[in-house]
Amino acid sequence: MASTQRPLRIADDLRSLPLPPEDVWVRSRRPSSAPIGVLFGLALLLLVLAVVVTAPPAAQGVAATPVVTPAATTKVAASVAPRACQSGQLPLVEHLAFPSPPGDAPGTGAASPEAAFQRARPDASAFAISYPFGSTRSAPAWITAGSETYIAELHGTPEGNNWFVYPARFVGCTVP
Amino acid sequence: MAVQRTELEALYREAFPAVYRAVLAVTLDPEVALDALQDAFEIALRRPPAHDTNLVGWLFRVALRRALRVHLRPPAVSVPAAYRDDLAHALDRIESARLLRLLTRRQRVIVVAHYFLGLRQEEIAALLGLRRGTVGATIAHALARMRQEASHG
Repeated sequence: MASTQRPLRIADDLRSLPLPPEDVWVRSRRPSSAPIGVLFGLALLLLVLAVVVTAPPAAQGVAATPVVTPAATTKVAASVAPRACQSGQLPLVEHLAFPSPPGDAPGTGAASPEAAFQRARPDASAFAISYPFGSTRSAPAWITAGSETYIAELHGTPEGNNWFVYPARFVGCTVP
Repeated sequence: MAVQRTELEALYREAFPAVYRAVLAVTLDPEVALDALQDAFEIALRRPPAHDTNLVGWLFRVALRRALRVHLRPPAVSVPAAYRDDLAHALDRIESARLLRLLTRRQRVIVVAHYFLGLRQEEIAALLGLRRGTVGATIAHALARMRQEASHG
């Protein structure tokens, strides 16, 4: 009896293999440069805190305002997931653009995914935010603005201005 | 003319998903594949390939050479445990990954280079220092083996 030949799907199959986190795609720089960056970041943070603490009460409200405040006319549509993945699956996303080296530094972003998107796309009047990657405060957010899609990621703790937005596309669903 | 560093990193990041998956499909070890690719990028920074070089093919060749020397030096990187688990599930689930395990390493290299990276047989021959006929014959044998197993699976 002749055996039926199933087509081999080598390219499609291998394309679905998950990738490691982007921050490990390139070897981290020499150890000596890391502490300098950290110290610089801490110094900047202390400077900002000093300005906030020493500012007069009337000015504190201004200083404490997030880096980017959504405009009053902005309409945030209902949440839209990249695509409905089945229960137990997570959406797989591919970044379409990356920041210039050495990358985005924690503390230089925005206070929330919304603010980060507003800063990246100040011209966008309507966008939708969903949280298909989890419901914790640090889970990435998925943003849809018209036909464009973005992912908002947290580089650091949720308390700082650590949210950054990157153009991204939904690839498919994966089993975690 | 050599490419600039920032341009090279942008090109590297663009090529990374394909080349990493290709090296991974050959080595079946994420840390070896990642370490090899990081090495390849470091080498590219020191000696940037010419503008007209097929960067995907170049990275694949250099990373493969590094990966196959892994017995001389353990990988200098570790991937997050969650990613390793995710990948292990994927490798178990994906039929091509299972079939590639049946091949010799050389067969895996050639099949992945041809059917995943889209390199032509003559490019693979030049890349690996083989004759084109050897590449063609290796592909034929490897596919026959994979199809035989797939028809039984």
